[in-house]
Amino acid sequence: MGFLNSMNISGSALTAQRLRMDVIAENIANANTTRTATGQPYRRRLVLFGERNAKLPFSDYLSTAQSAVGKGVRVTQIIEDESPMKIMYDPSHPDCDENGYVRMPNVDTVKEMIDMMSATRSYEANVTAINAFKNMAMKSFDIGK
Amino acid sequence: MLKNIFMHSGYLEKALDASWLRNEVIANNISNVDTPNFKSSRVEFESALKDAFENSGIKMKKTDKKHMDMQDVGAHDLKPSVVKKVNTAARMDGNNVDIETEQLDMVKNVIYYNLLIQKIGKEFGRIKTAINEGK
Repeated sequence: MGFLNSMNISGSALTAQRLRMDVIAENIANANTTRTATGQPYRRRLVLFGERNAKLPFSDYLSTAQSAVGKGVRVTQIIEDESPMKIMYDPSHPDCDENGYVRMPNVDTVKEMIDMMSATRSYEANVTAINAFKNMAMKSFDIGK
Repeated sequence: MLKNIFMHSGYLEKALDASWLRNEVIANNISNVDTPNFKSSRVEFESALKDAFENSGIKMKKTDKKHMDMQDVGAHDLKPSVVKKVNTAARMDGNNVDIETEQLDMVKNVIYYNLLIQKIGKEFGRIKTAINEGK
């Protein structure tokens, strides 16, 4: 149990939410990308969150008197959305097939916007937690004054 | 006499520890608000404190009914424990973090912590007063 453990916990969430935000931004930026390095249209990406477990090494079990609190959150994986691509009819498009249909990325901008709001709110909640902890930690220096 | 001079502040110290741990647990709950299948935890300390006061093994002998109870509760044995909340209504993703509850608990915890800091400061002030013979 470190002195600033709470900060690390909330900090891990800030990192995770920021990465989620980066991925959302990437999705929105590539909403119309029909050709990537693989030659396929862009696929929507998603982040997976997982708990950062307090799996302590044996020596730590001996030194910690407290029962284990988690260590925050981490992004376990960035996965690709396997839902089908959107089909658009545009015979003048250079990436269209022989019938004139273009496969567009499976990015739904509205969905991304909602995700972005969710990420922002989570980020804010963690910033509030950090500020509350900061007040507590500063107050602890007042003991004995 | 001198042995017991810090007895009172010992309890406050344990309560501070519990409050500190509670903040960590709440921070962990808030940070995992979007994690699928995460179950939130809480810290139990007050009940342990109550038990310690009520079920203290050592009792002082009272020779007069006006004597006050002086029980050696043993502040050093008190320890907050982390309990996982598993039986509350879960969301679709199996997560049961209620962000409003967590925020409220956090605010309450900070106020509680500040109260304890103030109490511990006053306690030391009283000891100082006694040492200085009230001067």
